[in-house]
Amino acid sequence: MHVRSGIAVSPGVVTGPALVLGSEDFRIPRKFVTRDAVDAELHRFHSALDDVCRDIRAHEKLVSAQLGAQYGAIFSAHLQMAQDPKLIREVETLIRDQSHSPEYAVSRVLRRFAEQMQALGDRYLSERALDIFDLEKRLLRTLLGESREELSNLTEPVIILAHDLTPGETATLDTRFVLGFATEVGGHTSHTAILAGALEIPAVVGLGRCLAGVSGGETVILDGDHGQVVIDPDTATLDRFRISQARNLRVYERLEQLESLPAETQDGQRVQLLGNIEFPEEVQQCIRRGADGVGLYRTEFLFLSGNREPTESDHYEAYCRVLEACGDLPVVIRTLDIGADKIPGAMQQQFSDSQNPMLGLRSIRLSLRNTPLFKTQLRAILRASVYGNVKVMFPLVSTLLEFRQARMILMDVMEDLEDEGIPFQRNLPIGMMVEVPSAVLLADEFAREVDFFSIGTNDLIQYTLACDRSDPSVANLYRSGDPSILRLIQMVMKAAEKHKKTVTVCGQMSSDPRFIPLLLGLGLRSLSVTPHAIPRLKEVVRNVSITEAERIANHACELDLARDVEHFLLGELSRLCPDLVV
Amino acid sequence: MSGSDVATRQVRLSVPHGLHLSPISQLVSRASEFSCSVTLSFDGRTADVKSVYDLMLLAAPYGAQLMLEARGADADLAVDALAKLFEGGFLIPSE
Repeated sequence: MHVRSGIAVSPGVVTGPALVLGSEDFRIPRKFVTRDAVDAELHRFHSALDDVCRDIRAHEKLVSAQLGAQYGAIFSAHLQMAQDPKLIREVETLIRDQSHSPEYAVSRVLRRFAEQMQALGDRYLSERALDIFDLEKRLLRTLLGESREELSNLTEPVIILAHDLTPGETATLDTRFVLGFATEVGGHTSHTAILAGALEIPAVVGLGRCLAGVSGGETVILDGDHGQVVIDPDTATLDRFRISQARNLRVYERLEQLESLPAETQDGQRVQLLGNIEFPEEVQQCIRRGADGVGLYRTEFLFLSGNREPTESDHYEAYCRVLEACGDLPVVIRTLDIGADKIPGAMQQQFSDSQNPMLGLRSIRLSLRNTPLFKTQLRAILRASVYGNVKVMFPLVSTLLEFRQARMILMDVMEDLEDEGIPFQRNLPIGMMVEVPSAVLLADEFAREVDFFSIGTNDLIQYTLACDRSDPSVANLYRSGDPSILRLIQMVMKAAEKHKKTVTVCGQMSSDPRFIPLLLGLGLRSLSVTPHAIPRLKEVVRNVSITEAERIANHACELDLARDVEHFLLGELSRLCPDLVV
Repeated sequence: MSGSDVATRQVRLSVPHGLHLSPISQLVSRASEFSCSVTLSFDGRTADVKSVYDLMLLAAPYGAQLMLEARGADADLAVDALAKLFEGGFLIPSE
């Protein structure tokens, strides 16, 4: 039996056989091929090369359109490197004459080029070796991709163990067969983690190196509530798992009964529980659980799902689907919040060149820099706005100027639509995410100009405590219960009350039942959460009164350590809703 | 027209940082438009002008004197086109 702890990112406890996916360092499974397979292997090499070239061309187009031709030119050099006659000749020779596998041949040839480059003693040229390694990685990924295809060809339930899963891989997991997944790397709010939550697949990330000894087929218990993975559990552990699973199921069934009941406190205060969604399909999950609307519609997937920039009609169709499903319920559409960490493939290099991609060109900064891209999205939002109750929200606003610029661009787009005689909702509410400490410090000024605030705790915690949320080695600093975060929320509430603006909390803090009494006590009346958390949160709301919540908040705000705050809140929760404390 | 046409030309590299990725990229895409084979020699090394890797390994610095040599039906045209890139200092016409 082997127990590993990681970060719990998507709840649920499951057991099943392990399916181990290859590690990203591309161990080459097979160095040689049989003589009679040579033609097939040559063909495999060429088709991998074609795929890689197609990807590079798509990136070139995307980058040229967004950043200008001089950036796109980087990719044309990459394309030449991939199509290089010398590379192709040498790889073909190794496959044909030495029976090398395409993987081994590609790796040998490119590594030799890179070595020669590094040996020249020219700093610029030796850095180009990195481009060669990048090409090697792309080719190997494409060549080895076949073994990863297992993912879409599953025929029996499994628990996936991998070094890492890309957001794309996560998005395409077949939820009929994937019971859960665990990865060696990744953090709380990595895109893969957010997706696991959206797909409602139990998941644990950030396990650290542990897969070397697992060959697949072993029984695994994956505990997405506590972030634990047990490989090859003993009988006693399996029994314990079965008992707690039966108990969880009972609680879950009871909570499902709450759907039709309002989220109302003991003293009659109605609380708005909204859903966070990523895909239009998730609206159903919200509605089914009695959500009051969509408090955060993340639109990044429109940008991530293909290699091309989404068109206005891509945006428009997705928004209309969400609005149609929501009827009169409010839908808050957040504009592009892409960060360097979330952009796939070679785009990543453009943005993460800096040492601090999280502090770089992302989100509203990227939108303001790429007005055509931004306007395309805003046009679609406005056009869709006639079909429902839409609000638009700008992410990562750090200065008043940014907010004003974004609003001005929105006004420009409105004018264009008006000129073209296209209908839209003129008084569409315009809000902002509060997730940068500067926005909290200036909350009073912002509150004069915005229609609403939405506190994005994930980024707010990361920027306030200066800790990378995806880095497990500083994960101990990343805590929703940190007194500084409580203080910041108080400041936002105060400014919003003064100017009579509404505040919602989205982000993982509001999906955690422990924090619900605290947030209500701080004055929050609207929470936007992962859809599957709605029944549990409703249970908390229905078991607490505002008076009691205020007492809890007052006490929590007097504590000076995150640990103490969280411990106190857990105690209160186990008193209010013992069932929810597992 | 015969397949044994050979054209040569001496060229000077006037790019401040030497033969780096941008000029290499231009040479490769220009050379690839021709059917003849083209080589560039410098300091005892010879590179295939249609190969990025070969050109990088040539490691030609600013001011280097290089020898262009093309063999094939369109050898003259190729050498003319490539020599023009050297003469123009590999400047990308501004947009």
